[in-house]
Amino acid sequence: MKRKGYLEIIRLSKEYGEVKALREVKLTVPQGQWLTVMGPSGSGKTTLLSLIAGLIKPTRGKVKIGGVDIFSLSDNQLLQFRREKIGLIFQQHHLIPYLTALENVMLAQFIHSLPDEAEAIDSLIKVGLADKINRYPRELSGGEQQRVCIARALINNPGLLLADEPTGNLDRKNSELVLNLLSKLHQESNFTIVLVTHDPWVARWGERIVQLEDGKVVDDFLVQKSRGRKR
Amino acid sequence: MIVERLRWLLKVTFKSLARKKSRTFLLMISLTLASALSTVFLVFPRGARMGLGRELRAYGANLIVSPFSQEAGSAGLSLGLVADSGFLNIKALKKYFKQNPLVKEANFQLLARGYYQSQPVTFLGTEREAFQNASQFWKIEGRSWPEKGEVLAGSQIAKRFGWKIGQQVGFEMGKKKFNLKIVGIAESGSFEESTLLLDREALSSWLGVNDVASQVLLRVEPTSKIDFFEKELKNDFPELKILTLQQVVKREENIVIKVEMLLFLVTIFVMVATSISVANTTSITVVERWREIGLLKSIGGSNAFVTGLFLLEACFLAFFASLAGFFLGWVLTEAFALSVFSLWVPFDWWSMPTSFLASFSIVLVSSIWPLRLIFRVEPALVLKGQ
Amino acid sequence: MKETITLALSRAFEFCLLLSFSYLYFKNQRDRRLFFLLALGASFGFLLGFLLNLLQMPFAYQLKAWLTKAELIFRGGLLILVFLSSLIAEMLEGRERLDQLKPRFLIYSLLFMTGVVFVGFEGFDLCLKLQSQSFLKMTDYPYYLGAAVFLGFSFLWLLAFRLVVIYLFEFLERVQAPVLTFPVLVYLIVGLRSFFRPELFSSLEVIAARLLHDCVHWLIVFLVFPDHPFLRESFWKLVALAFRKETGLIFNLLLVLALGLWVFMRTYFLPYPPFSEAKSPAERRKFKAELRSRRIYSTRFIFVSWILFSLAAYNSYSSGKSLYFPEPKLLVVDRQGKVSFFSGELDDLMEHRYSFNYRDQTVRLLAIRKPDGKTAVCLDDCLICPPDGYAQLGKDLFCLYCGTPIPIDTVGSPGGCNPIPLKFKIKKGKIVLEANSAFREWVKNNR
Repeated sequence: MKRKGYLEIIRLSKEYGEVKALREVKLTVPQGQWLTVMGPSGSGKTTLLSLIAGLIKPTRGKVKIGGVDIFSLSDNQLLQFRREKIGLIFQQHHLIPYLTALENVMLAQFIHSLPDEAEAIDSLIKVGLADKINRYPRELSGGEQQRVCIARALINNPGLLLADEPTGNLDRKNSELVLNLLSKLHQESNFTIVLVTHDPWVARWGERIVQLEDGKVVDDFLVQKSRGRKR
Repeated sequence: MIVERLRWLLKVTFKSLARKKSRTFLLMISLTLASALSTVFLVFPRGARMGLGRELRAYGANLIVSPFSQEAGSAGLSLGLVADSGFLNIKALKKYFKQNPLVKEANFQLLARGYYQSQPVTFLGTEREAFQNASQFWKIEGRSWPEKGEVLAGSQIAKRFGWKIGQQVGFEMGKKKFNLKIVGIAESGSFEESTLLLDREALSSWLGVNDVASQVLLRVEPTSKIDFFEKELKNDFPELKILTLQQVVKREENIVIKVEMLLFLVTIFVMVATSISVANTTSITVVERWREIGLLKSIGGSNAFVTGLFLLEACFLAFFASLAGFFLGWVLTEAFALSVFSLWVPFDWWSMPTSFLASFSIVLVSSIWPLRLIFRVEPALVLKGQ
Repeated sequence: MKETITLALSRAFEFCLLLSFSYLYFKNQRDRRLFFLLALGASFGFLLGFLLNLLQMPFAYQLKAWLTKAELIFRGGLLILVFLSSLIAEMLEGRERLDQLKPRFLIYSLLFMTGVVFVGFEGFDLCLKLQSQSFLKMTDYPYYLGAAVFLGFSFLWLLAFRLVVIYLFEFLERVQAPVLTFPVLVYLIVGLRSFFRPELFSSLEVIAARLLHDCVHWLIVFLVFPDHPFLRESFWKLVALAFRKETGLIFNLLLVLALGLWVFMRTYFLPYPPFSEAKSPAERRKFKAELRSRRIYSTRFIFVSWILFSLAAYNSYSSGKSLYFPEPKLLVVDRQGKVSFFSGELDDLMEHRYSFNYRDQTVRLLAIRKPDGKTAVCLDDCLICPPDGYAQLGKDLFCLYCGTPIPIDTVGSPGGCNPIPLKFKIKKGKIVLEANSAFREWVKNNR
């Protein structure tokens, strides 16, 4: 793995007082790769993801995205960077409850630059919600909500998509739908994905798996195509 | 289509407010009240001050004589039902004033409270000669002296009820009902504009009294002799209450100041109460929408952006509350001034900024403290799958 | 001494703050070079005032009268400023810097003019004030002291500012221009207060209103309707709103604002330059947003100058109202060739004007009791201007011809712009003066 990565994590450590959540993690993810981070709970998966997104500051180490060391940026620059380069999907389908699916997507556009309704509708059609554009989150099922989240995360054309247990609250059938959708979009647009999960079944959708234990990378391997990837 | 970003923001704000209807409504009401009261506080004293001693001034008089039992300042700010109180005996006083060389002019007036469509109106009975002396500086449309069954309306009162010259208007006084024809509309720039003017004799016959007056306006000259004259009059008529122009203005001003103080206290109290409730509601809202704030921050919204969203919501409310408060404030002022002081305060757009200032300052000042909580929300919390 | 220093210091402080803020107001280094034009204009005005007061000659007074006239023209220039900045906003489209604009001369002269109008007259005014202090004390030292304090303070400030700019450059870069606009405005207005003469601006306003009236009138009469009877009276009342004294100012300001808004809208709705097809929708959106915010930013000139304009207009409009200019009271020349009036008339400490007819001429007098109790009786005329008379505003008399303020304390002293003092006697509570000598003075100055 010597080629230059899109996402580079260099000796990254995070300590919460005495607790060491991450210890000297090193990772290089090339552009367009789907990386799955696996590990038991408390192994530092979410901390790693927060650090990559720039939501928290590391104790030591660097995160470089597209060659930019994100922690050397000022707060405002970091916000700007996150708006443009990073999409986020969460386990809870965090949608603004008083806005429709369309408006939730447009909110991301608004924060990025300008709201553009036609583009937002297109993105919702892409995730298969053509008939549910003007529904409120409470009128959507869990899977549908998660698809709105995906549309929102990808609307600003980020280079890096971060997903934290995206199927954690979904049943198998819905999970499969969401993951298939993700992989379809991934093939179309060639963005880099870092997906965190504890579920090996979910991990099979990725191209490469990193096993995290006690804040350390213990295993790092490529997924053989024949194993997963049923479509 | 002017600024789509702004339009979009307003839409989001509106939706967010519409979600918590009852809370928004309550907040709106308290803000409206606060801005209405501050409008009253601004408008009323100004209107009342315009009325200070204006009756005496209009007649060039410098002394007012009234029966002791009449607990009212002057007709400038009438403070009670004048018709119920005692009367002056005209005959004796007329004779006395005629003999006294200091009295240059005496104007006997009879005041009575009547009703038009169950709204109080003031009748001012005066004498023809005194009236003509005073009215040469007035602008009168139509006829200038009402005969029997006729009345001259002040311009303010005519405007208020939409009366026209030649119109028959029905009044009530006590249990009596009668119709009067409006023969003229008088603009005096003073107190008379909100009264109905007619012959004193005619008015006294309705009241069922004879040769009495509610008050006498005197012009005493030279002015240096006023104190002397006052003492003399008091000596001869101990049952009379005698006030000089300065005393009248002072008395009335004291009342206005007291009312002003009261209004000020009430306004401050309501503003503080409203501020507390706004602060409270805002902090509850922030805590409730903790996750939403985290989400907005995690997808790239800055602290300023999120705070701005919340402030916009508050200002949205404040704007409509100010508008409503302004009009409510005027209605309150008119009701208050009319029922308590028989004053008609002219409408004035310039007091609008006050109601805006009141509600916006409440909202902005009281939201600052709770909104600082927004800065504490960690965007990372959205990742913790609670 | 203390007075002089305080005056000079406060002016110097305003001056320096103004310069500093206008420096920061420009966004980039090359525009900042242009800011020195502002300073140049300021120095020009200041130097002019200083020199003119130094040369205490009739010629200098005459020049000063012209200059005050010129100030009116400059103030008319304020109106032009609004138009010009709208023009600039139009031209700035797609460019980032001022000096990329084609009519460079226009921009430079605009900046220079701004410097002279806003800052230069500040200095000029300071000189006038210092001069009147010198005049009162019959010595020149306050004048030199004030000038020295002013220049010294300004020099030190600008030196310090330069150092601060070098060391805190990064910080200052981060402080965005809109944040700085506010203090700049505040200080501009503080500056404006000090030199805005009353009533002059109102007359400008009247000229504008009349021009507008004529245009509207001609348009309606010749193009739209042949004559009035077609329109109701209420319509004309509505039209008249634009020209009333109370509403005219607001109307005219709205008109200027509307022009600004028009330019704003035009810039805002300009079509976008073509996007390259390779760009993703998100990139295109970002590009649009940046373009739009730059466009909005470029029109800030309009709004800044509009706010400035309206505040200045309001300022001079509201102060113009309190100008006191009583009608002259006619006096009769008695058999001994004397005119007289009661001394008690002057007890209100306000200006009083009298006139009397003598040898086919009407001679006007001005009398005032000064706050120190001394009485001054003068001709309603000075050595320089035509005899338009003096009006009172607060503690100053103003020459209605040239607008020069005369502190009331100095009335009764001879020379220059002051009204020409006359000799008088007080007899039995009456002020008595010789008609003949007053007449001779009057004729001498009004050949």
